[in-house]
Amino acid sequence: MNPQRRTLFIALSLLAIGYLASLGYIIRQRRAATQGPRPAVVIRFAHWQLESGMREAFDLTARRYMALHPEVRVEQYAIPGRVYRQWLSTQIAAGTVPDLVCFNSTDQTDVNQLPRNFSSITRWMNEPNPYNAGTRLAGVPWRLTFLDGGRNRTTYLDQYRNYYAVGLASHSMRIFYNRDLLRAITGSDEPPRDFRAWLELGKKVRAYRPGLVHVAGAHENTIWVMPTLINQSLARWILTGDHEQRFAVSALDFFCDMLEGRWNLRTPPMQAALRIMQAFGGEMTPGFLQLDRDSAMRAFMRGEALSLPNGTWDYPTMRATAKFRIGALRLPLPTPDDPDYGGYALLPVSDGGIGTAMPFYLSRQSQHPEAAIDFLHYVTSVDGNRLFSQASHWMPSIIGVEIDPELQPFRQNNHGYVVTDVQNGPQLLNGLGADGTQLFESNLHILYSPDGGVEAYTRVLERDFRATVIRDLAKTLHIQRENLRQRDTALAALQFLGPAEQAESNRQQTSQHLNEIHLYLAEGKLAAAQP
Amino acid sequence: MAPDPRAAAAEYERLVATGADDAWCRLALIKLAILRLTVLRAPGPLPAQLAAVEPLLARTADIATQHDLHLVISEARMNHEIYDAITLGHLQAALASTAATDTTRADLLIQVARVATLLGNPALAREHYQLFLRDYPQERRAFTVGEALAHLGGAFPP
Repeated sequence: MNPQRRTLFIALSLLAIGYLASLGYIIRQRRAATQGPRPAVVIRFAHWQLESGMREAFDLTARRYMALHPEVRVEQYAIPGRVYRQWLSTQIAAGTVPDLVCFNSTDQTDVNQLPRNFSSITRWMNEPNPYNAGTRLAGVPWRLTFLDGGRNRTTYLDQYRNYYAVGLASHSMRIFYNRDLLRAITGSDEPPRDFRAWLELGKKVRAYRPGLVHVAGAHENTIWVMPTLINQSLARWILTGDHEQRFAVSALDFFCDMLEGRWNLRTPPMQAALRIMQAFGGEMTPGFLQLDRDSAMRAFMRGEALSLPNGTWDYPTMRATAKFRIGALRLPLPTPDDPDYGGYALLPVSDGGIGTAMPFYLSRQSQHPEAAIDFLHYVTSVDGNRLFSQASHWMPSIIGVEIDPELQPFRQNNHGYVVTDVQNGPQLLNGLGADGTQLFESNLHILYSPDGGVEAYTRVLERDFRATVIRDLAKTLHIQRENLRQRDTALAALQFLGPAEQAESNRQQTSQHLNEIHLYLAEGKLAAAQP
Repeated sequence: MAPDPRAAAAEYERLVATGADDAWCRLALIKLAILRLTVLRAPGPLPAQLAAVEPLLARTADIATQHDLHLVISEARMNHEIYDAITLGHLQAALASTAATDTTRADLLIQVARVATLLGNPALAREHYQLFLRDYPQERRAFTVGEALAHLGGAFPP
């Protein structure tokens, strides 16, 4: 046998051995999963958290739960984020959605459609979590055991005045930085305290070493960080749209005000917002809009950038690979007297726009809603959430569950103002809907190009801005009307069942009426705005 | 099929006219109020248009229905930025019949306090801000409410 053939033979043999080993492993796993008495109830849950350690943390929590409930089998479906939405759509269409589904979207159209596929869990949220018996949270309504009272933009749908999900963890958005590099550049570990000082640091970074970047930028990071930065920088102005005196402004309030002529892209706070966006982007890697988060992460890890805007969900990964000390700072905001960027923030500001994370929804297709809720009860109990948090290295979502000492610097700061609505707060970059998001995002390069800038970006946006808001609002209201129509029938039917169903119907009717009046009021504004 | 609010209102009126005060009539009463507060407003200036809905409150003895009527009337008034004693009255009436576990209660406590502040009644505002802080200490607006309480005598936000 000549050497070439021998090499080929060895390669094919290795491939065959690998294939057979994999096959054997899968068969053994399948057998192990199906051996023993068939459980009476199977609870399936799906998520896309494939970060290191997450699947193991879920498995550990599920195993502990199954030890308490031998009649239940809990199955995990970890689906890659890139295909998660398509996978979920397929499952919904096929009627095979897992009982519990992790879902998150900043697209208002998606949010409006949540009640079509997921059930309200309000009635459970008002009852104590049975797994908290004997703890400090015994007898406390489930919703009040969460760090954010169970209400954030993903778990509580303000439009329906109902709870739909519970968050299993909590995160904060921070600018992570290389402490060693910061000390080398400035002689101190202390990060800048406000936006202007942060911009000044950028100049020092660039002067320190040619090619060194202040912020490792990427398209995703921009989309995560920029809306929060803008909302926080403009909170005082946004609050002027709180006509219903709730200390909470919704996207509907905000953009209806725009249609009524109360503001436009040239209104001073909006221009300040665009200047902040431009200045923030100017600190990032050139061409960051074309880069993905992995390349930003690699640049930070290699010491090619001083900092990286990111969520704490990636901290365990960063910590494991970094060869330097990692620090973190909150988004730097303009001071009130800053002539270019300041005057519209409400300080101090809360991290409260984030709330708890990794929301799990109860599928309407679930055959075992009570059992599925029981599993969620366990994962969000003091013991269960501690177990999950320690295993995953993500911060807990439950009051009184200790945060890993290493994560303490990242714990949410809720001691501050937050004025945007829980679910549908106005976000400049995300707009009122998909068309608004596309308008802002697809033209962002104009803001950052050498011959562009705030004026050029404003000119391009304002050509289509009003028409875009009208389109997005029309779509949003159409979906709301459809949801109302469907719920009307269901709530009326509940009136003719038992007393418990009647009580639930009455309770939900109140939110239905509030939604209906808001819908008609917004439709009136939309009609008046259309040519 | 395009929505026809006039036809809907006619059906609701027919139901309400029966005076049955059953589940259907109660539902019709609120839906009629919503239409009259929005797309089918009475003629005249805005305050008169909104005031024309008030008599519907007397058409039911059901507390839950009255609660929802107070709620939609106050929402419509505030959406039009009418922060007067009538609005405050509706908010208070709605709050009085709101269950402790109801998800609208936190909003109502803030709304009563803020409208009371605008009407120069800091004592009422204080009482409701304090209730909010007692019952919803973890709520995301707790800091804002605490600051509003601290600045009751002056401008807010400071």
